Amino acid sequence: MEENVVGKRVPQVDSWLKVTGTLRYSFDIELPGQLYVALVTSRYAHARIRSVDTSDAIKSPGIVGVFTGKDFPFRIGLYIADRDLLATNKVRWVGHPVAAVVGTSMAAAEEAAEKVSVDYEPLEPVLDVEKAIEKGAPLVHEDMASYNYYKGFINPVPGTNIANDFRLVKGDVSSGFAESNVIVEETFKIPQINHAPMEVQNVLAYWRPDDYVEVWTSAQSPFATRYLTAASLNIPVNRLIVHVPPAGGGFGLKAGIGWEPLAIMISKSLRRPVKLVLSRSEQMTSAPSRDGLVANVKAGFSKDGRFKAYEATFMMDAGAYADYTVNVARTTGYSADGAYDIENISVKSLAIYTNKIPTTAMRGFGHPENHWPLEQVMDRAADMLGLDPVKIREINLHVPGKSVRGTGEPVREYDGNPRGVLEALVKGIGYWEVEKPSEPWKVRAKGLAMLVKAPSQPPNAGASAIVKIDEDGTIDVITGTGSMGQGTPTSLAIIAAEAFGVPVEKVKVNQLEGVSTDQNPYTWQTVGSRGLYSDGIALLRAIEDAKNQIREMASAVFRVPKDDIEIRGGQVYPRTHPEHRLGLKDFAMGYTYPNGNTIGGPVIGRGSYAPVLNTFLDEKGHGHNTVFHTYGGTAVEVEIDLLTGEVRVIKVVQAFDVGRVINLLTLEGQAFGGFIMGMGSALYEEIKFDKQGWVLNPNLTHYYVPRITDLPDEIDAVFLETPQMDGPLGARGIGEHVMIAVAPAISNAIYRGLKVKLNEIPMNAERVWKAIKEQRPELISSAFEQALSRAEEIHV
Amino acid sequence: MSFGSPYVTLPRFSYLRPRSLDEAFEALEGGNAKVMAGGIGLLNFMKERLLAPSVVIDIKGIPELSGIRLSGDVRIGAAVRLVELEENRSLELIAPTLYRAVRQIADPIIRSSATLVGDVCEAIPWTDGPTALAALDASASVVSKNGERKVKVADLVQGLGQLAIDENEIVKEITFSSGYKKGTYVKFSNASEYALASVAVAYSPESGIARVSVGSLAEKPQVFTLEDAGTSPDEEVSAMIRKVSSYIESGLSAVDDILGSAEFKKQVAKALIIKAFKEVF
Repeated sequence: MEENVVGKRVPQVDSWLKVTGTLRYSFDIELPGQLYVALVTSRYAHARIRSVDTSDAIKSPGIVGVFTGKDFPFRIGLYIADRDLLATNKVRWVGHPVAAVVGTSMAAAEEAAEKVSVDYEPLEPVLDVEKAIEKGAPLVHEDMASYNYYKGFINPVPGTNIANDFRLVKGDVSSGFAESNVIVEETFKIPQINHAPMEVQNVLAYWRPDDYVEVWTSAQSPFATRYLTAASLNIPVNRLIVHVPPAGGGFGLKAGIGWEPLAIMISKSLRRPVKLVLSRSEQMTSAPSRDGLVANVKAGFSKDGRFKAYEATFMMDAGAYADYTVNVARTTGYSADGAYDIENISVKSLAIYTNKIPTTAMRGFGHPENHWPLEQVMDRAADMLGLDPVKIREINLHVPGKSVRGTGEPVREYDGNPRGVLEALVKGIGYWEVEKPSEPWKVRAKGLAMLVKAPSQPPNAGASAIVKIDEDGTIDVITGTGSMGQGTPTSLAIIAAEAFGVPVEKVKVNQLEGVSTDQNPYTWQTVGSRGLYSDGIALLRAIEDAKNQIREMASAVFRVPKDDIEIRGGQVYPRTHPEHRLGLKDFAMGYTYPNGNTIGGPVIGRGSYAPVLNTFLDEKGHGHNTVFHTYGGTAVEVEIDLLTGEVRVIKVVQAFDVGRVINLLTLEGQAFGGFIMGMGSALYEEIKFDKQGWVLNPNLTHYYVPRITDLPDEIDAVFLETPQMDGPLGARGIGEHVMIAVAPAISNAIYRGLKVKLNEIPMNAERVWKAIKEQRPELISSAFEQALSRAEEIHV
Repeated sequence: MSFGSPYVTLPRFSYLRPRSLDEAFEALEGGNAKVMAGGIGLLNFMKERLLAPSVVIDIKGIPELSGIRLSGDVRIGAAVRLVELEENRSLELIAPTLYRAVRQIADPIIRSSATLVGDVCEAIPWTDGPTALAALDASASVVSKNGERKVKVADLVQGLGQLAIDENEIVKEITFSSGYKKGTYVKFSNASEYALASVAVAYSPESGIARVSVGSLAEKPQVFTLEDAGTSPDEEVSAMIRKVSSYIESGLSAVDDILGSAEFKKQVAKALIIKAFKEVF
């Protein structure tokens, strides 16, 4: 049996249960007597509710309760408490839940929901971020001044539609532009997109007769869900037990607080278990999506290619509720300089309310948003300067140990190797080689984009871990990180196996069954690519604690100093006399001498972690707010059909400096899956609204996520290992980085191949064709002639 | 097909599985009934409450509706699933236009229960079956207790969700001439499961007739012959493509919809013509 498994390919611990359909998701959990909820949702983007008539619905067969906003007159939220459980006074988007109809079966509830009638007084909706910040725009939240929010962290502006106004200032951009020889000025756009997890959001809540509350929910962050829900509903934290079974995908959607408060309050009212399951179209209209973006950017470069000044206004379409997007806007702002040394920076990043779908965190958290403009600016500037896209990056990339970020944080020696990432991309994709297209009317092109990202979290985002040794020497690892396919539990098992020198099969991580807040130790959230790093550090401390307990006993048993005890290969022995050996099992429950005397006791190690020396950011966006940065990048080879505008990705290279590879299989899975997800938003995905704010594609037919037939022929992943000084075994996080640079890499490839600019995603066939037609019409006509002349040849 | 439904349950209905056409006709007499073959379209429409029949009549148990006949005119029963057509390699030789279209409908899971007749009766502008069948000049046999009549498939689908049959009628089978030995079906989809444009070509070398059907541009497939476009199979293929392209530009209608603008759909149709004609002629 292989003992040293770090860096090898280890299948995820829950793979067998997943592929055999045995894993229990929260959807699978049922309680006797549970009730079902059907939602009545708004048909207006913005309207005052004159009245809700529930009298027919309540009389419908099998109905035990009908609830409206009036039943729950309070607001909830993570960073800003702007959400109601059900619409109160007015509806703010099409899909806003107005009433909840509760019945003994889903069919009964759905049938009765049709009988709820709502009398609306339509109001003018605001559906565009630029209009939303004009003076006199309709207000989505008139009462913003009364909302609770995380002071010192975000900055809402009551009386406007601005939920957060974040600024980052470094140097003086006007003098930076004065020193610039070349200026790139562009507007870039991103639509709202959906997370589209396989498992839709669902909650089972039970307000028990003893006034303890149990919740089973498809969520990412058990403890944040518990704390925020308890605080919102005035429940003592330890009386709320949140169970988070493995989730069928999260992608940020299931971070923070979701549908739990509504299900709990209904259960409190009816004193029965309540199950709330969204339909796919509710998931795509009534639940949050990712923010949209309009970004006006201006970048100045000196003639030798130095990035002198960057001015950016990010207008993030937060939709009707911004409880998480306020931090997305903050993050987009403070990390707007990406992986580059920029001398002068002025960034304004706004989270803006509109009458569209509310928004929340999503994989990448503000970084797909700020890298989409920044990484294209680099290629456009290179073109204007007569440099190539690789050279301009070499000139401006962070130099660890020397560079300083926009926030004033130094780029540390151990932060990674951005230059090495760039080299890996150039080499891997064969950046300088020209490939032949499959047809004469198509064009092959290569492009790349860099990225850097740190977890975006409050300064006290802690983690903790417990390690227990079982009677036979097997090991239990318990942390608070949820399992949603990202692979953290398996990586933690590998770390524990390595530390004790046992095969990974001997370690069990309890996330296999899910996390329960009354059984698992605290971790802040399962977000931000922070799990392996934060829980990993806590776990190593817990392991050290457990080992110390074993060393104490072994010191007595072997009669050697404690510090001379080695614990390796699953065995315990004096360093100087390794022929005297005992197993872990001999100490698991305390050591028992032949006469029955026992010393020590069951081994249980605990470890805690909190970010070191982190601060809030000041009014200029300066401070120390990160724990590690992961550098990476994506390079692509695409083929563009000039007749249809269709872009196909042929080959991909993903490169990241991960510090240390813990599980190669998971890393590759992240690199491949993240690319595909990034490609979906780059080429296809977009929530489409009509002029009234109706969603035109609330389904997976017309909201298109990539299918197997859309995948590139080849995806390669390269991992660099510049150890993170404080990371577990030197590792740092990777879960989000894998999709951040995908869209700009594809756009840069198109620009390099055709000199056609695409400033807006998705780069679907029609958008690309129209861009070619506007910017290089001659390409389309000559492609048509090419195609015809080839047809002639075949005919002859 | 899903337009998006807030519902997770189906509306109430009773389910009948007749053993003969007469039993089915009788069930239809009761009114507010819908005929189901594969169920792929119908059940989704019901889940979305676009349809709420009180009776669903499953016709898969009626013997006359099963089976594929390839001798003489081709005949495909209403209960024949797409996977049966896909596995029938003789169909590829006799009617490559249809065979290639069938292979491109949805995905293998859906093709294992969906039927060709169902694909037509869904009456969705972007489906593949009607476009291919229109090129083949196929007819549908529509039966009721009053007898049988034939309707061209091209006339059966009137527009989105609109089918030219009465409530008491059942589409029994689809028939078309086995003369179109050459042909193909090409489609273009991007950012949707459905075709933004599709082109079916059916060519009978013996008669010299070549029919082209363009799908997805408007509410129903648009069919024309090479003669309509001012060309013939005797011309050089590049000349044919030029003439057909300009016919598409000026002679066909196109509408803006969720899949794309009218202008772009025509552009894609022209690109598909190049691909299709290179293959067939």
